[in-house]
Amino acid sequence: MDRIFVSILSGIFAVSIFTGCDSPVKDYTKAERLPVIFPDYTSVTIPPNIAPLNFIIREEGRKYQVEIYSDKGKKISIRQTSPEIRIPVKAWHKLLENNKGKALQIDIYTRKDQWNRYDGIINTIAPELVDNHLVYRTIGITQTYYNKLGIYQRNLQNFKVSPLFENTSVEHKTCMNCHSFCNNDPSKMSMHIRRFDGGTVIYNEGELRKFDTKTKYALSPATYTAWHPDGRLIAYSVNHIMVNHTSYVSKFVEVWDNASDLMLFDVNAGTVTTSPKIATAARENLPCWSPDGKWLYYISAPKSKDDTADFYFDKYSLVRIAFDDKSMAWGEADTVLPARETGLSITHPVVSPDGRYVLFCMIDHGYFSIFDRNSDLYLLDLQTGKYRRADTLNSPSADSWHAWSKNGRWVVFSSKRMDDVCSRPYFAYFDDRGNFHKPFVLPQEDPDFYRTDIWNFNLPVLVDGKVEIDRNRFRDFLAVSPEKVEFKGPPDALSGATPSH
Amino acid sequence: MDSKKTFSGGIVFILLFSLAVFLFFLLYIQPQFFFFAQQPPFQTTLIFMKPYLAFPGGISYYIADFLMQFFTVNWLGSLILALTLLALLFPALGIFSGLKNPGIEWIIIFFPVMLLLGLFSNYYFPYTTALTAILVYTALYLSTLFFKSDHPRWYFYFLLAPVLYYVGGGSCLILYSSGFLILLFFRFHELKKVIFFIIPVAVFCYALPYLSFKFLFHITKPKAFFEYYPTDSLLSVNYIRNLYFYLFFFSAPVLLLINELLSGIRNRKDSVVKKAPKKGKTAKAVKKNSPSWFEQYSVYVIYLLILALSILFIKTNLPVLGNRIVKANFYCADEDWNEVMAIVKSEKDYDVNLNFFYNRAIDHKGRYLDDYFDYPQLIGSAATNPEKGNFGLLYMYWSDYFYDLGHISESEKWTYRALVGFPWCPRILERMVKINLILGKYKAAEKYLTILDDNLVSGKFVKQYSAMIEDTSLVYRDEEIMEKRSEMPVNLITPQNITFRYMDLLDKNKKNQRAYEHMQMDLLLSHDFWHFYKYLPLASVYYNELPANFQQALIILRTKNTRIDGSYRISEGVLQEFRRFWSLYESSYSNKSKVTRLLQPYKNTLYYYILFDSPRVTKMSLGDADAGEIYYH
Repeated sequence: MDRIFVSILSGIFAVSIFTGCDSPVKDYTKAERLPVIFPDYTSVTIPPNIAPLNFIIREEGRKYQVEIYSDKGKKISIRQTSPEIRIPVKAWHKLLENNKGKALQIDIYTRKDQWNRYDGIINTIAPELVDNHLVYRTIGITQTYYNKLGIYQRNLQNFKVSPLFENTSVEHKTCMNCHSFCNNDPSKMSMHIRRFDGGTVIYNEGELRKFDTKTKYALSPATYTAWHPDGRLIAYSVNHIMVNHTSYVSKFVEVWDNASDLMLFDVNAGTVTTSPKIATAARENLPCWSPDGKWLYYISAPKSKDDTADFYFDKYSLVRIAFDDKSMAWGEADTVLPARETGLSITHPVVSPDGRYVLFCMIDHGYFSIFDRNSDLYLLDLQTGKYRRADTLNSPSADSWHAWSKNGRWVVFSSKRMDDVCSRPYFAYFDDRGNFHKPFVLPQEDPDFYRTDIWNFNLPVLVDGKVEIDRNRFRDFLAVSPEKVEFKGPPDALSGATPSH
Repeated sequence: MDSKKTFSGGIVFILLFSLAVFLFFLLYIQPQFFFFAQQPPFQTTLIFMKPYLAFPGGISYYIADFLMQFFTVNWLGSLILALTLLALLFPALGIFSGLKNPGIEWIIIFFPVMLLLGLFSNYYFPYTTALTAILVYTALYLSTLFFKSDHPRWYFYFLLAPVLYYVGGGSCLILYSSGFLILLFFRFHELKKVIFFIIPVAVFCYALPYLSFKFLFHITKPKAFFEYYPTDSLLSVNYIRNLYFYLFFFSAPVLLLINELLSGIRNRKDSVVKKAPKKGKTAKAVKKNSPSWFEQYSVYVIYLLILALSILFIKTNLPVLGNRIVKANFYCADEDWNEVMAIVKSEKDYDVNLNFFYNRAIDHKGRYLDDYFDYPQLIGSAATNPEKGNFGLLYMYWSDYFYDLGHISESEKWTYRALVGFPWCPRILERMVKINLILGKYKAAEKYLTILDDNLVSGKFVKQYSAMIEDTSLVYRDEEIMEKRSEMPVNLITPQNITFRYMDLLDKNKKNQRAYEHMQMDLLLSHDFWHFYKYLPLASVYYNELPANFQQALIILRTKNTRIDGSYRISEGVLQEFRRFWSLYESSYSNKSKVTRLLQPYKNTLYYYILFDSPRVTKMSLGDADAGEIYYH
């Protein structure tokens, strides 16, 4: 239905574009500045396979002309009375495809009484592709409650959005979260369903299974998950999550754990295990595998004390531990970046696909960064052991929940910079010298989309292809009772773990 | 009466009826309360519209939400409601006219209209239901034309039904299909052909929703097959369906069946009469030419009956208390405290919602302590501090409460929760704008203003507050924003205990008399006299003489403990009153009914509350009503 609707609108719009005259503007006055456009698509580096960067010209005018061109290929020329610029998809892709690694110039003219020409916007077309789909969850403007939720996949080459599942399709409006993929592979996905029809759903090469991951030995069912690159194991945290409200202007909600451990789940066997190395009295959380699967990175905070203030204000360090997936043996935990060194709390570590970098967030305390306006992204070079603030990526609003593309040249992250209310997915190029380029927001067919939309784009994840789950198959599957996982650990598996309540 | 006269008389009656209905809506119902009770969302954007197109029935929900925006203007809303009744009347007229008895015909025609009129007297009645009925009646009317045509086409149903399904939803399809089958059975006389049609119609009626559910739409089974009205709206839980609702909802096929049966009987009678003339032809003809008194005036009797039934349906549908709650809530949001008081006082029975509104009203009128017990505080501190009550009020009440106090982060918390259920609600969004202006988060305030700018009802608000985004120095000239800034606690973890929250407010601004009064009354209503006494020294900041309630509390404390500081002055009047109260109480405390009767003049005292009204005494409980289906995440 959505597709039909979008097609009709696109058709109407295409007519309005191509009926306009596209001859070059000859007589104009130079404005000697960049035009104001929304969203900000100036001086950005874009993947050659990204959908057209549609935008609105926020300059006064009765007529607008836009010319988009590069070294090779046909110039895209649009003249219209509306400031909403929608670039034809085919022509755009042709232009980008022919000019990989080169500059893409956008010239904007506006006409009130006479034509004005602004300084050209110069963007760069990167040679490397970005994974062609983005999976994210939408949730309304909220702090800790939900009503309507959906997990969607967006084809980044065009504007096609399809739901993997919307909770309005089931009667109890169940909650779902923490979708996770194995190496950006769309055929291996996990997500949690909460409250009604609960369980961890594993989509494994066409097969759907649902597991109840809560065992009597664990604090909770699976929470934050990370697929081992072998596609068989998933490391996940179990957490006692608490929520409280504050009157801090920068962080109205405090989400904190008074206990957490890590577990390992074999999705083929349906078994769960852990080890005193990753389930200690300290709070291990947010696991992430190195691309070779030999290291598990995670964050850890000291055991919580009974004083509430400590719960809130503890800081997390970045820790890693060696792992051998054949013998299922763990090495010794090793603090990679201690909080005492950074002075801040580390959260959401994600290792780059080449294994050299860890991109992570830092906030004042705790690990739950999405409500924290001070959340910023940092990059740790595992070769040098040095870390730095990823200044190009950060903003005065919350920047967090990041993911790498399969080739390691792109990152996507959530940022509330646009309006301080809704998180939006931003993409940034990561060059071979280890530098990030200026990020740009996910392009939308309607360039006014972000002004009027009221949904948060949670947990954006890049995947290298379409997730082939039919939304109604997924909906109907949810009614299935979950398979109970079996706890299969070595005798000392739980010796360090926080007792379950 | 000849048919021409009947027809013109009918037109006059319909016009007069419509006028009366319009005036009834305008003067009595006042559609603005409809809007307020249901908070129908509407934005002019495509983003808002698209989800409505993604399920069967979405279009009629969209139209209903759009039309309800005009209910904010009473005369426009009244006009829309009156026209809605007419829109139902006309297809009904088309379907049911033709009965040879005009009296019964008019009753049948007006029956759904009268029912709908009655249902409209409940502010929570889902307007979509009226649109569903109009769609069904119109489709059935078109079907009657189909049956009248010389060459009825078999595929007529199969063309109309899917359109109806998509526009009006599963219930629309079922109702229409039932009506169509009735028409088919009674008006399509060749039995073989009837059977030939009935089976595919019945199969189609099931297959269409089934296939939609399985392959086309990503929706729940009830949404695909049958729902009375959208249950997505959290406020729909406030509407309790009664017998009238069901009568109205299923009226089309039921009335059609009655109509067809009556037509059948009439036709049979006619055929008997046609055969009869052989015997008494002359006598009958004479009788026909001179109608009886009843036949002559029966149509007026029918008109009167319609009016009487309309009034009866309104009267028996009218949820007096429910509508009063809506009105009091409306005037609270509008800050018309006198109206709130008037509505609360007009209700004889206790109601927790009205209790809450009353407490807000006296607070804003500066009579919080003086008039506190003028309304029985039967749920104790839960009506002072809604969080304690956990009763089924909207989260916006909580937001209002903390906003009044100046606890902005708490107000924001509840506003956020309200927003989860009602993401487009102007009232909630307007609160978000103010909160963010108070917090100095101008970007966020601008975002909410942008959303408000795309609805049809917030123009004035947007204009007023957008100016503050353009020029933030205007914020400093806004009394309300600056007052809230001076009151709001900052950089603190919000304590679970409400007393500590009041204390946070007082730590921030000692002059926050409201916070102090709410804290003390909350403690007294919870029988926590010792904490009340602990914070009593602060009273000197606000009063030269202790308020009567506080003096009464001191007397109670002194009866319990002689070590109470004697420096607090208790007036002779309060002492005398206590003595009188106590002597009456002592004289007959063993006889509860007698003592409560005797102590009626002291109903507005703390003593009376502690002994008789307090939930600790009455064991009154509000249960675990949840504020809407918003789940914890």
